[in-house]
Amino acid sequence: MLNFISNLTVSTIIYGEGGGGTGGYDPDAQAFINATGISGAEADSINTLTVGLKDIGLWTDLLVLYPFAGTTSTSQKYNLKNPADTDAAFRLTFAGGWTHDVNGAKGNGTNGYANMHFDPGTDLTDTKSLYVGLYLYQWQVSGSSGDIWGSLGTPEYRTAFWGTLPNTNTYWVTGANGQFVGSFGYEVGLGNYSMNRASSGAFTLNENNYPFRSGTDSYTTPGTTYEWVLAGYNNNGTPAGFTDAGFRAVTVIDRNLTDTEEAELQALLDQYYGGRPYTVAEDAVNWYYAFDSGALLTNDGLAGAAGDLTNVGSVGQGTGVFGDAAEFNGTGYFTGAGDIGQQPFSGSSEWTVCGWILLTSGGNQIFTSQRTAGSNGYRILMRQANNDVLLTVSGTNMSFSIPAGLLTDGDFHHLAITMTSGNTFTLYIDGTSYGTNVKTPTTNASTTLKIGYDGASGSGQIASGGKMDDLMIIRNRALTQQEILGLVYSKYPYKN
Amino acid sequence: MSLVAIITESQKNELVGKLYIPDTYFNPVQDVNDNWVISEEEVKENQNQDVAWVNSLPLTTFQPKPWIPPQQ
Repeated sequence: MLNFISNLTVSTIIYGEGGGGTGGYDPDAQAFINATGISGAEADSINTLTVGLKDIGLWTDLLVLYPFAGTTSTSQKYNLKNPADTDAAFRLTFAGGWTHDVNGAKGNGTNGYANMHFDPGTDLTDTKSLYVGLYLYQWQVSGSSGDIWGSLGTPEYRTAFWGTLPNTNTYWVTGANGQFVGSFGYEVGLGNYSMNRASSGAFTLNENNYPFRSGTDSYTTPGTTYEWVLAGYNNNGTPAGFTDAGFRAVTVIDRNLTDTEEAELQALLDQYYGGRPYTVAEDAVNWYYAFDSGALLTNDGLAGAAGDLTNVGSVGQGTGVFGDAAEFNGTGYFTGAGDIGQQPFSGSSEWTVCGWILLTSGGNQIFTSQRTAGSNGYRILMRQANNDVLLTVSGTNMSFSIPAGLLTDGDFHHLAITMTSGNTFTLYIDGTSYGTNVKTPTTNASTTLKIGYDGASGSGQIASGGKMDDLMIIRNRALTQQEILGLVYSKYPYKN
Repeated sequence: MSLVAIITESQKNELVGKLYIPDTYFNPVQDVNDNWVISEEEVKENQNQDVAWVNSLPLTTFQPKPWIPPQQ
C-alpha cells in the first residue's frame, strides 16, 4: 500500500490533482471526461482513478472499467479504458428499465439489462485467465432472485454471478460443462465482488478483497460464447434473469491478478467511491467490543478506556464471527467499568445497540442492559419460550416477535435495535426488520452497562456456550437498514 | 412490487429496436401468462414520439415467470 501511494504521488505530480492542477488531466482520463461530459470533483476523481490504474500496472491489461460517471445512461455507458461510442469499445447498451444517479446504475428487476458487447470467447486473450470485479452499491431487493452478470453459451460455457434471496447462496461460475467456480454460501452484501482466475484453473473469490473461497476449476475450450450482460445474464443470446442490483463499477482485466494487485485495485475503487458503501464510520461508534484475543475487556470505541469491561464470573473466549468472541458459561457476564453518565435509549436522541449473538439453549437471556430496579434504564432480553426479543425501556416492555429457534440454530446472528429521534424502536436480525414499537424514554439510570446480565433483576446470564461478538453501542445515531446490512454481510469486522 | 404495461404482440414488434430515452432501448418481455409487457420506467420516461402511445399505457402489477438460475 505504501508503494502504491508513493507511485501514485509520482504520477500525480505529472498530471496534477485535476483540471486545474499543474499538469492537467491524464490524456486517457481527459478522453473519458470529454466523452461523458463530467466536470469538477467527479472529473478529478476519474483522473485520480486513471492515474492510479497506471501506477499499479493494470492499465495495459485493463479491458473494461465502467465507473458509471454522471447521472444518465448517456454518460454511464462509457468504458474508462476506451471511451469511444462504439460496441467495439465495450460501451454499454442499456435496455428496459434502469435508474441512473450519483450512486451508479441500477436495473429494475423486471426487464432492465445492459449489454457489455464483450464476448469472453473472443475478447479475452486467454479465456481461462481473467479478473472480473462487480462493485455493488445495492444488492437485489425487490425480486426473489436474480442474475448480476454473465452469459452462457454452447456447449455450456458459463461466466456468471447470481444469487437467490433470502439469505441463501450466491454463485460465481465460469468455464465449460457447468463448472462452478464456487459459492459465497450466503447472500452477498455491498462492495466489490470479484473472481480471479488463472489459466491453470486456480481461482479465488473475493469480497472487498477478502479471499472468501479458493480452489481449482477444471476447464475445456469453450464452444459458442455470448456477450456478457449486466443485471441479468445472456442465455445463449437472450437476456434473462433480471435483477435490481445497483452497480458502482464493473472491472474486467485480461489476466488474473496477484494478491497485491487485487488489494491495490480494491483500494483505488474504494478511494474513487469515497469508501466502501454503507459501512459505519468509525467516528460514529462510542462503545465497541471485538472480544478479541488479548482484548476481551477492551472498548475500542470513542469512549476509550472509560468503556472497558470487568469480567464477572469468568466469561471466556471462543471462535467468533471475526476472530474471537466472548463465550459465556451460564453464570458469567460483563459489567462496565463505571457509570459513564449516558446510556442507550435515554432521552430523545438516537441510539443503536447491535452485535453478533449465538445462543445454545432456551431460557431468558440478556443481550445488554443498563438499568436499576424500577422504571430506570433499558434491557434487551432474548426470550426463547416467547419467540421474541423483549426490549424494556423506562419500565415499558416492547415485544418483537421473531421466528422460533432463530437465535438458537447454532449460527451467529446479528441483532440490532435502533431508536430514531421519534422514539421509534426497531429490531433487526441479520438485517431483516422484525417490527417497530414506540415509547418515549423517561429515565436515565445511573448505573453501569451490563452485557449478558440484567443488573436490575440479577439474572439473565447467557447459557453455557453462548457467544457474542462485535458488540457496538452508538450514541446519537440510529443506523439505517442499509448500514446494518453492510455490517451483516461485509464479512469484515467493524475495525480491521 | 414492480409495475408493467401489457402490450400486444404487434406493439411489441413495433418497440423492439427503438430507443425510449437516449442510449436505452425498449425491452419487451413476457410475464408468467406469456403476455408481452414493458416496464414502468419505459412507460413513464418514454421520449420517443414515434411511439408516443406508450406514455398512456395503463400499469399493472408484474407477474414474472419463475426465475431459472444459470446452472439449470
